[in-house]
Amino acid sequence: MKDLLKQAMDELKRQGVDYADARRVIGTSEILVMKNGKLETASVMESRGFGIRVLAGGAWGFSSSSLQTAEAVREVAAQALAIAKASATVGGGGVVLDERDAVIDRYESGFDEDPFEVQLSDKLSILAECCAGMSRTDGVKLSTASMMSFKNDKLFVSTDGSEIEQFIVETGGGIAATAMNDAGERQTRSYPASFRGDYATRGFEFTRSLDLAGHADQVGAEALELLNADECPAVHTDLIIGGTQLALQVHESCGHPIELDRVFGTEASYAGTSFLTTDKLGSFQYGSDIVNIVADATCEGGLGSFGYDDEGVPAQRTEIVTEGLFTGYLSSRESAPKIGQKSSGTMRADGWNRIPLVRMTNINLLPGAGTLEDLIADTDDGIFVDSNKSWSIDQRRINFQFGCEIAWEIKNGKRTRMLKNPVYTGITPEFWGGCDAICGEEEWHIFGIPSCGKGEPGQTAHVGHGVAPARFKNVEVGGKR
Amino acid sequence: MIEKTKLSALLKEALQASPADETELVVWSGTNALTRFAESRIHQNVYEENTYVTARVAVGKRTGVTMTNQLEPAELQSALARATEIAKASPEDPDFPGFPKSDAAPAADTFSDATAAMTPTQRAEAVSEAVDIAARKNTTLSGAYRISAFRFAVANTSGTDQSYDGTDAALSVFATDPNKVNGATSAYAKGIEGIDVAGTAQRAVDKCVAAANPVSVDYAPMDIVVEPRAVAEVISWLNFTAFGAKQVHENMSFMAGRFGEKVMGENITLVDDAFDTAGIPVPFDYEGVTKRPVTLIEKGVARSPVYDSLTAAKDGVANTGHAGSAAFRGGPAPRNLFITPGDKTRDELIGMVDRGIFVSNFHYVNGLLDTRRALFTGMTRAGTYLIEDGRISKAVKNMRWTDSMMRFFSEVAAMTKERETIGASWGAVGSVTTPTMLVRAFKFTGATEF
Repeated sequence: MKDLLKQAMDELKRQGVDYADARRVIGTSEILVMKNGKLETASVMESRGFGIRVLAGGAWGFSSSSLQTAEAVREVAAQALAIAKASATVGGGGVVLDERDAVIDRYESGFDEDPFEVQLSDKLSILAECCAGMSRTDGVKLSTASMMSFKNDKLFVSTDGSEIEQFIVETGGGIAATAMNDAGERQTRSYPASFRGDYATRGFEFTRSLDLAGHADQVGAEALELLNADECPAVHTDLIIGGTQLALQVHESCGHPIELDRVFGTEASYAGTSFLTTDKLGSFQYGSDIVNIVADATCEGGLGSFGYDDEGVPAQRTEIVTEGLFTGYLSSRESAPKIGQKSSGTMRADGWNRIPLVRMTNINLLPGAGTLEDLIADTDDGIFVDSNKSWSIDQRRINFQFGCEIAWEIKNGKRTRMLKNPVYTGITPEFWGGCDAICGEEEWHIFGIPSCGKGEPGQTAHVGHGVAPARFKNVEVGGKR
Repeated sequence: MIEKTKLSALLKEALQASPADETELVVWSGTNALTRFAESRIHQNVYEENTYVTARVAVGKRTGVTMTNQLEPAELQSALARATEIAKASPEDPDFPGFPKSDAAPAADTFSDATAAMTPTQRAEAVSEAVDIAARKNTTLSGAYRISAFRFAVANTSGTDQSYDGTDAALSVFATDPNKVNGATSAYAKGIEGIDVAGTAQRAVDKCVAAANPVSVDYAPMDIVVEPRAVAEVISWLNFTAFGAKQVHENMSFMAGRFGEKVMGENITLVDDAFDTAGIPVPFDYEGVTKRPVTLIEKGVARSPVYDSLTAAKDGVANTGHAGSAAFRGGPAPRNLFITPGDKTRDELIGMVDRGIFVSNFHYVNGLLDTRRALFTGMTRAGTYLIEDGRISKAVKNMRWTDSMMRFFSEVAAMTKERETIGASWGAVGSVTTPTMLVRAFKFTGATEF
């Protein structure tokens, strides 16, 4: 296949295209979901194919096929060129890419235990143990345990002469207990994060390290406790946000608005644009001076880590917010030159049949100092929330609202009563401007989110967010509306 | 897409050679093309030819699923062998009813030759027409023109053997003025014959022009006149949280435990009917079961969720033919929803409001705050206006809302007789056909800067 794709690149060059690249991807995934000890989903999916992207007349065309024959490669290359020519008729092209040297390399993500070699019965027995643990609490009516594993075998070639192979393995899992009462109310508590858990670019050793079964009893007990907890009051207060929720806060209010393609309007009709317009770069105070955020695709094990992006650009670390000042974007070979920069290496595609888009890598809030208990002890009056339940943000990423699974009231430096149905809302720069404490490295963890959506047709990216619990001043918190 | 007799022979051969007790094969084979534009320029333009085969097998009451996109006999056999391995390693599911035997679905008008044959040049010409309309009003356009053409087939060892050819077409248009004010609309149909490119673009541009110079409004409960795109978005979320039997069994649905009770206003009747040609027909589900119409809400009373074979067997009721893909097991879900219309015009609805908000679109709706109360949040977007004394008076900045959809659909004071079919967010083929509604005292809970 490599030879066929290289021949296609040569032929496209001969036809005078500005640029072209081709990707062959073999993607395999496994989904296991057990509910109340019954296996709800056990599926293995494999998708193979290739896509060719052509820049001609300053405009893009892309075509792809699951067939992997010489004829299919020729047809797809011709189709991609025809599409590029059609694109150039509306708006006149104008795409210019940054300059890149050819790269010939192979990258493999590290893992100790291949998740696809682990016996299915071993995985199912862990899931069954999780369900049993959660269900030991009376009142838990639904116990859910899940694992997912992914591997991607990728080949990239381009008219620049690059030839890059990558092999990336990712795993993770999570548990959730839902308690219900006779009145029909339900409350869910999860571990290590809601919506299927935590994921990493590592082997099955990562899933084992989560010790899902070891947390099952506590998760079940907390679900029931939530059912009987007081409603979170509506107040303006100091808000401590735990890691699993803060990961999503970073994702929605920082990760998406720093996508430079989005800033230039390429997602306007669908997900929206961004308030972080290019005139703000280097001058806009995004947060307080303790807020430092980087985009780092080189973190070992981060779910947003890789060797090269899907334009063949090496993984990088970029400063996004430096002492509160907005200093950088996620960018591509097309978008970066528009602000006089080179790509920050974040173009990723969800498989062979999708074009790369600017995507988050690991968007990390750098740690401060101290433990969570230190932070709580330092808080006279506040609320501590964790574990996401709902999320919503406007099309420029300014007004947000998050619901969380759980909260605790903080009085005089102590965590007191549990509260249910916490919701908080804010305006992004005001909110980050109120960040007055971030816990230290001992609390810092990269949470992996395998479900970041973007683009049309829809694409799902695997991203990471390194965070430690942090405190925000005077946040609007409310219970159910 | 794969030729019909070749596909039939492949499936027959694979079923016969399967090592499992029972076998089901689901095939989607076809093409997707999408031309995306922003700032009045085509910036993404893609084409895909693909095949998905989902192989589900049963060994006794143990099941396993694999999915591949390769159709060669050896690949299918490999997928079936792997699915059988998974099944053998899985615990028994005592509720597994076996794969269903379905009668053949009636013929439905599901295919548009012109859509299947549409070229990139034709899509570019359509975008060019829309862009020209926008330029006349000093606005730029973003959006997407998507088409698909496919063959969908389901065969199993119980004797089910169904296939149909389908197409659909969707156009979204988002107009932006020099001050970054927006207006958005869309069109959805079985084929490109049903897409009014110029009309859709003109509506988006008109909304954008009318949205100029927005003012802030103190957020509080207010009457709203809400257009079909926004209504369809909340219905899409309810599709995910409420309307399937699985969500009812897990007590997630607002309807769980409330069947036979009034959960919405008496003027709300919600039906799923896959053969109603006012929407996009879909003859059968992912288990090959011919779809039946289901009344979910009748005059405000919760009547029934939709079922697949597993959930129907559990409840001891008829399978309604709403299974989803076995690879993901999201449970059964409606795909062709219709809300019974009212008798008003849009202007008459506006005339019934002393002071309120006209909502063209919602943005980033989330329906997980409290699924038992159907408590949702979201933003307004791309065409939000103040209604004063029965007339649209000016544009307003967008607002956040947080409200129960049970309350929302209980406070519908009137609806239009005209309905619009909106392509749903849950997949290539699926739609909500709904009127514009006047909803009393909708709960706005926040504001943004634009």
